[in-house]
Amino acid sequence: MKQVEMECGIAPWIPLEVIRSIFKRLPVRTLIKWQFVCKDWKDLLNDPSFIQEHLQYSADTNPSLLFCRLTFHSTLEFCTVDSEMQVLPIESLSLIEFLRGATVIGSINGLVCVKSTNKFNILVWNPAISKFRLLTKETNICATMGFGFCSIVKDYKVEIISHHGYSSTGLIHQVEVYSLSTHSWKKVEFGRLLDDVEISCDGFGTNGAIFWLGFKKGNVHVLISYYIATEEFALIPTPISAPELIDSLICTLSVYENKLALLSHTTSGNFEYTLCLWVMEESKHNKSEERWSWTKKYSVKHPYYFRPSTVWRNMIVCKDVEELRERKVDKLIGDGIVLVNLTTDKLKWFAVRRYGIDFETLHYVESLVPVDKIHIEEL
Amino acid sequence: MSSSVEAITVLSSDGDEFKITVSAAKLSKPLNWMLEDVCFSDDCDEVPTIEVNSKTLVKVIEYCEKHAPRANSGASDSDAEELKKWDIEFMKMDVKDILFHILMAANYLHMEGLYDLACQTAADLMKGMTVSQIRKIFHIKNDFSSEEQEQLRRQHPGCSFD
Repeated sequence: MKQVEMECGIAPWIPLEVIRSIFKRLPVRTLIKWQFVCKDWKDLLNDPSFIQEHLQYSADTNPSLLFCRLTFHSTLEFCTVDSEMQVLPIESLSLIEFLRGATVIGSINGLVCVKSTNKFNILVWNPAISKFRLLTKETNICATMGFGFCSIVKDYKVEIISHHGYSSTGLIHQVEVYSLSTHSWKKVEFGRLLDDVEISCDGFGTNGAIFWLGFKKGNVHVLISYYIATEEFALIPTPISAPELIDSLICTLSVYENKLALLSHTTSGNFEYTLCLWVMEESKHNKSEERWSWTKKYSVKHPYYFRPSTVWRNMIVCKDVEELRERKVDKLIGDGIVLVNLTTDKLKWFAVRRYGIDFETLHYVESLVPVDKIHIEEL
Repeated sequence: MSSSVEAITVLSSDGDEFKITVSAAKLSKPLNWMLEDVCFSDDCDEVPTIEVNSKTLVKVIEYCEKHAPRANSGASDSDAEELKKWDIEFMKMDVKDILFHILMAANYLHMEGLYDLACQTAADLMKGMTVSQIRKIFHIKNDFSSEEQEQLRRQHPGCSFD
């Protein structure tokens, strides 16, 4: 055994690496409590390298699903679904004022980004440690947002793309980015790249970038990417090119096998729908338009209309299943999701909560990641 | 090393002799290196010492002997299921008395399977413990000043020092 580690103050007879291996297997609520044991334990639990180790282990062993529901009182409520399909509510009472009419932007490394609709407020929140940061930013109503993380610059970013009317070439965009480490906003220059692009949804952050889906002039489906480290935009062709598919297209972004994934739901009419899972790869050496390639990983035809929402473990999570309700396929009560198994093609209904107006599902992992670095120094 | 050797003798840190089969010893990298380096044939009377106490070594060898046949031949699903049940039974032990010694032995002997199993067992056992229970088991003194305690309490209203 390494002597150096034996001498460390954390339970002197147990090496630090053994303590770390145990701690990374523990839920966040236990670790938060154990900060009170002694200074050494508190230091370890706030050590960025341990937080990263714990996050990685949780992401590998227990990737959860975050279920965000808009109640009849128009308040956003959250719960998680773990690998054993256990539903656990998330305490958000202290944020209730903010969460009225709010929308979820994204979830990365245990941090959830939420925008309020009434005020110009953005919340970056770690529900597991009950800590949040509130950002104020004036935006116009047409703004789309994105939340991303880059491991190279070790920073979380909130990005707002807004537009201010039209010019001869199309919409005039403005992009602003907030950095969680510097606590500040800045404008991003992007030339004329976004001139004729219409962004159709909020962004999705993964692998050091934020991605948006949108359309170029002539109804061409595109993916807009913003690389956090280089602060550069790119327009990437998507695999959905046939115009007849675009009319019926429901599309969303997710992650599959650690790569950006595109879930598409299209119809050829006659109540026949196709659900597809595409994965994007980017060649590091090639700088041309061809550096991005899409691979179809999964495709299934079925008679139901539902909206793919995210990929979770080996399943595609779908919502909006009125068709299924009407056909009384299962005993359906309240909000639920349909899980499409990628190995067996089987559909499984899973009821999460009773009735609400709408809901959203995102992948989620419980973490100790702080929302405020100052907070750590204070501790 | 002579290929006829099926079991080797090792000494615990208490000086007791233990027999372990060659296939079981292969679960540990350092033991495996020992097998390659040291002559274990009949005309060699050198007995290697393993820096693990007798009580712990008995359990480690028990684990190795149980897991070796599966580790060497690859397990079927039913075998894996049975082995999982065996692991659960095997791990029913006192935290302070033996579990942490097994954990450290597995760490020292580079036995990934046993290490993961012991870590998970320790985590499951510790999960529900209060701060004062943890301090008692690990002989840890509360070294926060009263100001620091107050500050921590403010930051985590739901938690306590007890």
